[in-house]
Amino acid sequence: MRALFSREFRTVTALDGIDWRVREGQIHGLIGRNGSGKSTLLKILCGILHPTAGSARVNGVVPWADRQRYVRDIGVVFGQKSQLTWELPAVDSFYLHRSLYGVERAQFERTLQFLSDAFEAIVDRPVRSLSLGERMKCEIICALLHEPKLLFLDEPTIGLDLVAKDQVRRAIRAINDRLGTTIILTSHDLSDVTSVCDEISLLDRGTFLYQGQIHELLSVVSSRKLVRLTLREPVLSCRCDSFALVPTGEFTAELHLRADPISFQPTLQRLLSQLPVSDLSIESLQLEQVVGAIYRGELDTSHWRKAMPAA
Amino acid sequence: MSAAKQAPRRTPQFALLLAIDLQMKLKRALAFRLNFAANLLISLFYSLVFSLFQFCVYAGLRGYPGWSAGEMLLFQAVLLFWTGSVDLLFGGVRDFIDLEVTHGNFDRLFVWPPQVLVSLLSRGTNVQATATVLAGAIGSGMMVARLGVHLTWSKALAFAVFFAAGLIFYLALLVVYSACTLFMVKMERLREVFDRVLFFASFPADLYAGAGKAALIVAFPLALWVYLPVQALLGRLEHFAVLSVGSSISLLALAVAFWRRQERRYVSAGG
Repeated sequence: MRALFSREFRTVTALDGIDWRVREGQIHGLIGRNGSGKSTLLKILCGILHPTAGSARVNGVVPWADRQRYVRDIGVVFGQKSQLTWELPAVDSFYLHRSLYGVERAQFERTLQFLSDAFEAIVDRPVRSLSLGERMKCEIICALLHEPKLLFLDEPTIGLDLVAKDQVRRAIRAINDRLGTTIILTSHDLSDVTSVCDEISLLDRGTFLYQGQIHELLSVVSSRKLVRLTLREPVLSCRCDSFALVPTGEFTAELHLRADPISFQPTLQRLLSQLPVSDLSIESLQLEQVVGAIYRGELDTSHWRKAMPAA
Repeated sequence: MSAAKQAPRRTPQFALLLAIDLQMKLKRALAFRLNFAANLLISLFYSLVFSLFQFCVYAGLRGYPGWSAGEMLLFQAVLLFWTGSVDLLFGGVRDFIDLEVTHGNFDRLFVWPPQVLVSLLSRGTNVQATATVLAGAIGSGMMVARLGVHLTWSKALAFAVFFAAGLIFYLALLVVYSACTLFMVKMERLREVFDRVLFFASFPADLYAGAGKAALIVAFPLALWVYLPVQALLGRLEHFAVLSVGSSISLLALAVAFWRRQERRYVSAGG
């Protein structure tokens, strides 16, 4: 009842002190946990939200200040929100889109033909009868019909099966290669990011934890190994002080090791000689585990931040 | 596919967007033809029954002071034409914004080149109302002929001006409703209040005396929707009726200013 008369409001800083540059013509991945500020950032850059402070310039325009001019040069696909009319073939929505953006008919026909071929899309069947993958391809086509310089893709592969994901990813690559469209992609599926992005930005609690080449992040993956141990005695009774062991059960523990030739083998030998190891496995780290470690603050990212470009 | 050769693109006008939306809605309706036909007949039936019922009640109660039975029928026919017209052009706007804001889809209007308000108001056409418009137009024409109204250019022009001003006033109310939806999200009972207010236009302003009548004509010009256009056809407009046109335009300007304020404060839905 109290909520009816007085509401408690909490001010949340969705984005704080961020400094972000995306080069023209690249595919840039924006990743982050739920609530990290990704969607807020995208909505500001699309001209939907007005930030309380700070500035942004995309294609030389402040998105929210000159929205009508700005949106002519961007395309937006929200993976969970459709631009298409459910009961009609996608091509009908495309014609509406043509009118909204004032695209010349001949140019529109050419672009539509090109995109339909590139995506191998079905555009003449009612949207309601299309598979999720086909529908997503039509959504992306719709966002590209006015030939934007910049395309925002917000979780474009959400809910898609492996085959459909692969088709969408190939199409994104093709568009970037052939049209030079700058693409900003957000996804919770890191395989999307690794398969199509040139650079990546990792956002958490409104600030960037990492910005850089995707291969730099992948080199972290390849430079670390996950060692899982099963012990004959309870972990807590063992002399684990000299190792950064993380208990995962009464008799099990794991630790991350650098995979460099100087320290890796001696550390393993020390482990085997000092601890009552009954079983051991060595695994390569997955990108998800590295990103998870960054989120949890288990991986030092300070040297990355120093390398980030200045404003 | 070359951007360099592109001619400057024009933002489509409101009328064009309305026409495109009507075309899309017609295509959607024809995708389910039987449903469309049934809906047309049912909405026509309801409109006619309601108008006749209202006529009978008020004829029995002598509810329209100074109005003959023929004039009352003309009033009902123009009412039918009016409700059909607003339903045809803007009948789905409230459903559209309610649904889009609640489900977080409203963002997409911000990434289209037209002004958000223009995109919104041009997305609510309702082709099912075509039958009502036609019935109203035919009924109005028949009653004008039966009453022997000498339809001059000035009367037709006055009818068109008041009818257009009525649409402007309706738009003003719709804009206020939409702006409120942006910050309240759920409008449920307030939506009912909106409908009840519209209901007052179903009666001649003569039912209200003095200040009440003046208020309905000038301050909150509901009389623009049916009463004043009919009075224009019958050639018995009061001089101060012209104030309602200025009033409707002013109210629309205020409503748009209110909308712009809310638009800047739009916070979207999550995710």
